[in-house]
Amino acid sequence: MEVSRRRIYNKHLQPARPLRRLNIDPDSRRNTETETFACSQDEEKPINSIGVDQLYEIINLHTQSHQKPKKERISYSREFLIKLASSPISKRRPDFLPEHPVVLEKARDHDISRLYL
Amino acid sequence: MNNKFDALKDDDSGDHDQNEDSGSPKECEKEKNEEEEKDQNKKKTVVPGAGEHPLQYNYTFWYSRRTPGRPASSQSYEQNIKQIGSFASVEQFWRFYSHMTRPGDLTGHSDFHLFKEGIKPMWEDDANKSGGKWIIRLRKGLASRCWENLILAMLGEQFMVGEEICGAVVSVRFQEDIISIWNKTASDQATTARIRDTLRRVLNLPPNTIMEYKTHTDSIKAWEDFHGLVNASGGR
Repeated sequence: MEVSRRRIYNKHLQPARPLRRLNIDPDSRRNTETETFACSQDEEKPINSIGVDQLYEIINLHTQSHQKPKKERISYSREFLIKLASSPISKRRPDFLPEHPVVLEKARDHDISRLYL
Repeated sequence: MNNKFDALKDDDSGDHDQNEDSGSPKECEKEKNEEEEKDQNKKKTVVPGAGEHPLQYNYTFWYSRRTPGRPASSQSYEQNIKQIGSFASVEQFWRFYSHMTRPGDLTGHSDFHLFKEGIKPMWEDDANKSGGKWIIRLRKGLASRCWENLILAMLGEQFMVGEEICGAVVSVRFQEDIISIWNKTASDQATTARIRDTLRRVLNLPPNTIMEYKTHTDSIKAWEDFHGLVNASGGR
């Protein structure tokens, strides 16, 4: 009995583990799972529903890890960027500016607000 | 290093009237020299300030101006192009931008370049050598507005072409101004088409505006042909 339940449990839990670990040492993982199993038994949850919850977790994990590179791209709309131009930090003179005819002493913030309104 | 400052000196001795240098020129150069070296170190470590809005990439502003009477070569181009500064956040961008002349107010044959940090605004740079650019010629009076729309779209990652964008240039010329955006792979048609469509969307151009794609290999060839001809006929 103990053996067969363990097997069922393993089937459901397995994919929730990071794939890397799955491949590395399956034996040590099996031991930890037995421990977790004992805990969940205390809560008297039916094994099937744990499996379903975890399935959703698995699905979420998978979609997240696939979308991450795209989500991490930092993009801003023109309007948002323009809004930030009027924040006080945006008007401060940079600490390092070369002396150059195209470099101005004072910010021309009046230009920016006029331009973008 | 010395050559670089010779180039700068020439630049200043051109038809700029805003230039009000005081003190002996030698001393000024020395100071500039040291300052620039300090700048270079700063530029490598530029990070967003606390509470600022980070950008996807760090960028560097450059400025160049044709120096009359100088032999035109790719080397002198590199010497003539001046870094203004690098930034990593939206706020830092505005700090630089608000302390620079707008392109529409520039005089003479000059260019602003805004490139990802680490990419030189030159055809020969590794990131550019297989690349090309979309060119838009503008009648006088449109440069500032179009340039701002272009760079805001670039900084805000509106082009959606991954790592392909290298930078943008606005070129102030005698009778027209030109804006361009450079990408890494000229042969990647999906990317160049996407850049073109985004440009149309973000620039708000007059309907009859012509857009042209030019590979840097073609630009180099045209440039060499032209200067070959000039040299053969005894010009500079």
